[in-house]
Amino acid sequence: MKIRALGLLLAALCACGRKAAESEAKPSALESAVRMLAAAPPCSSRIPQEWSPSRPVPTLAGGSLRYRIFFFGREGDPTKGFTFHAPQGEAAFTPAGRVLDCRRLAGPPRTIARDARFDSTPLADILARSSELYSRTEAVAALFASGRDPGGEGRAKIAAFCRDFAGLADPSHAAAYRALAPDFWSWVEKNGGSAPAPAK
Amino acid sequence: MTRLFVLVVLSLLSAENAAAAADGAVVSARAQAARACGAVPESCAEAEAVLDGYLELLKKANACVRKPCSVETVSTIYDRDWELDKREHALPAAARAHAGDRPFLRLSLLVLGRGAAAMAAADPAARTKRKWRADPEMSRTLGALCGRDAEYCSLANSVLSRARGVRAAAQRCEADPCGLAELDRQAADMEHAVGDYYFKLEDRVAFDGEPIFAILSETRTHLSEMIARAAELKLGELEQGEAAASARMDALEKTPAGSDVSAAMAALEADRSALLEVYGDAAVGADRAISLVEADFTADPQRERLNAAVARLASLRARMSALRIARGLGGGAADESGGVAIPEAGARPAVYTGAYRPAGRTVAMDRRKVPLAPSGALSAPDILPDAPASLLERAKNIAGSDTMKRADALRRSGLTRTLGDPGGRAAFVHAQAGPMACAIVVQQQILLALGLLPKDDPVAQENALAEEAARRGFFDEGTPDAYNGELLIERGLLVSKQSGVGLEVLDAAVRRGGMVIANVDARPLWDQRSNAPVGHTVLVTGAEIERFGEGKTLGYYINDSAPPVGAGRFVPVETFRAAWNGLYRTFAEVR
Repeated sequence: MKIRALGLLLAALCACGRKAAESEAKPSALESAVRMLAAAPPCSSRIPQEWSPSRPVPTLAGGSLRYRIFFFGREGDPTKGFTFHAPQGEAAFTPAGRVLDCRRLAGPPRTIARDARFDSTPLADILARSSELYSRTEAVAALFASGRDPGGEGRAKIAAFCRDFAGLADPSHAAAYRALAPDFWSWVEKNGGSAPAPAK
Repeated sequence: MTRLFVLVVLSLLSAENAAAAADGAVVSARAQAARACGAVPESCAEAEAVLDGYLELLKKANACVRKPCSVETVSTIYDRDWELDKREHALPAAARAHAGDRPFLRLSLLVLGRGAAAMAAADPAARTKRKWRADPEMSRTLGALCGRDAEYCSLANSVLSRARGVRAAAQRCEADPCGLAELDRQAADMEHAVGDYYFKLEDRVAFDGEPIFAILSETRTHLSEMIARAAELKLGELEQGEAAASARMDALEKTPAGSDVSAAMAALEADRSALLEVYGDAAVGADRAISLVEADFTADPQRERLNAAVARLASLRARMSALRIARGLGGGAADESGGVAIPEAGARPAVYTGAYRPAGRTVAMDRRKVPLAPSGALSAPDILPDAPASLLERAKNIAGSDTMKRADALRRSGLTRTLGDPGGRAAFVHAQAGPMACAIVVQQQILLALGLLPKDDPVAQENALAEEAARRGFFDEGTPDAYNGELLIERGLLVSKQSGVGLEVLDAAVRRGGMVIANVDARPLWDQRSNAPVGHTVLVTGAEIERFGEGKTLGYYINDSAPPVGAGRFVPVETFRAAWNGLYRTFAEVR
């Protein structure tokens, strides 16, 4: 009984300090859209929920900003580590997260080289960097869609985006990223940035 | 690898490519008009009028691509194109064709392609509003393709033949309504036709193939609407049946204590079983309809109504059980019934794989008793294997920031309560054999826990279920979210589904004590240091909640089939929240 009373007291004292831990930074609109993409029709019946989404890449359709993304499966398990596949599905969606098209790609799954850059990075750091890249993607996409000269400040944003993109996107998916939105990468390169480069 | 989404293909093509294609088609069409004037002078004026008409439409369509027009404006482009096409057909052969080529037709296809891009710019959802005019467009497309390349022509014919087959079958069902099973078969066939287009044709036809895809797309949308209507009818039937059953239950509950209600209860039970079958049809039909929808899908009213129906059916089951106990007719949890699927002859293909034709729906209901998990003497595995050595250490753990240690110390101090049956359900998980079979293994565990599968070789069972799910189009290199729990629904179990919801909605479901299938980003669960989210499905078997304060959830017990298997593993709520928010935020609850 004493133990319970003591525990209860301690628990009550400690509970007040825990509210902050329960809240999570609100993700950007783009990050929210990507998280939900495979569960949004028509992806919800075509893309297995086990597959991973790639980084989204902006593109223009009829002058309107769209994002394109691919999905890929994996092999392995948590004990042995994972090896990811080349793209197995693709989708296009609006900045508000409405899926415009979603489909699977042909051919059997093909594994890509394992990206070991994150083996010693804490997951929290990876997630924070990922959220940062979503924000940078949105900023760069707005510049791209505006059709105006990004100027010095804009080019600095493009450079930061390219640096973060290269730091997080799997180099073995570089060709697939370039094929997703050639118009965007061409614009990036014209403004001093670099398109994803394959692993050496 | 040039993979273009054909419906938006022209808008995604670079301006230079589109311009080059347009220039080629325009030059050819101008040359053809000149040839027509030379070869058939009496048709010269008409050929030039057709040419001018197409050029004007092309200009209009391009303008609408650059600056979006209204859907109505873009629709007039299609209508006008159709009129010009009829006029082109009326020209003498020498005026409309040259060396197997039909330059005006190529210009028409260009207009259609730019029109599609203009429509996508106007409103991506508006494409479905376009009038369904498949036959003439098929003929025109084939006319253009077959004039250029025999292999092209053969592939296009094969794809269109499939599309025609589905369209004819769909039209028969339109005229004479057929059952959901037939529509379901057509839906799978349609997916094959679309798969053929993507895999065999698209890369080769890109630009000119847009009308082919438009036909497939419109047929698919048409089919989706029919399935949605059929599911809607089933849903209506279900709701009516529930209302009637509920009214009869009200009356039975009001009968005097000594009166004999056994016959009435037996009749009600038979009707409730029949309703479960209607529910299965409505639920699978609704999910299939979603699978054929192409775009602009913002909400699914059928799913909301299905979830409500599931809750009412579960309530009816509980009320019947309570009345049976009260009247000495047996009852209790072990007497509640559901259904078991019996495979029948005939196979159904997985969506997008193989070239065989799908058979009809392959399961039937068998009303056997379903023993539910016992309601008493529930257990939970230890949160941490070793108890703190001293009272002081336990107190420090309660006050500390380590969420695992805190939950463990609180539970060991009797300050928590376990909901669900994590201990009992832990026995049903095994290490998944297929790397993408987690959702299959989760359903297998539920079937085992409910006594709907015998305790047997778990891997053989997993493979058999994966094979069944693939035949039904629910599994192909993984399980799409829409088909989460479909094997359970087909066995007559009540499954409600939620998508894009907060953790508190899942929490409420877990607190009801049933089993919950949760789709998550597994990285936080496994501390997997990966740059890409890792989609995974786990079975939530229970929760540990505080007995004090607001009764907050401290964490969830999960069965995780990924090696090393987590059987009744406790996951602190903060870790689970990160996994939950990482992807999807969808779950299915077995009621």
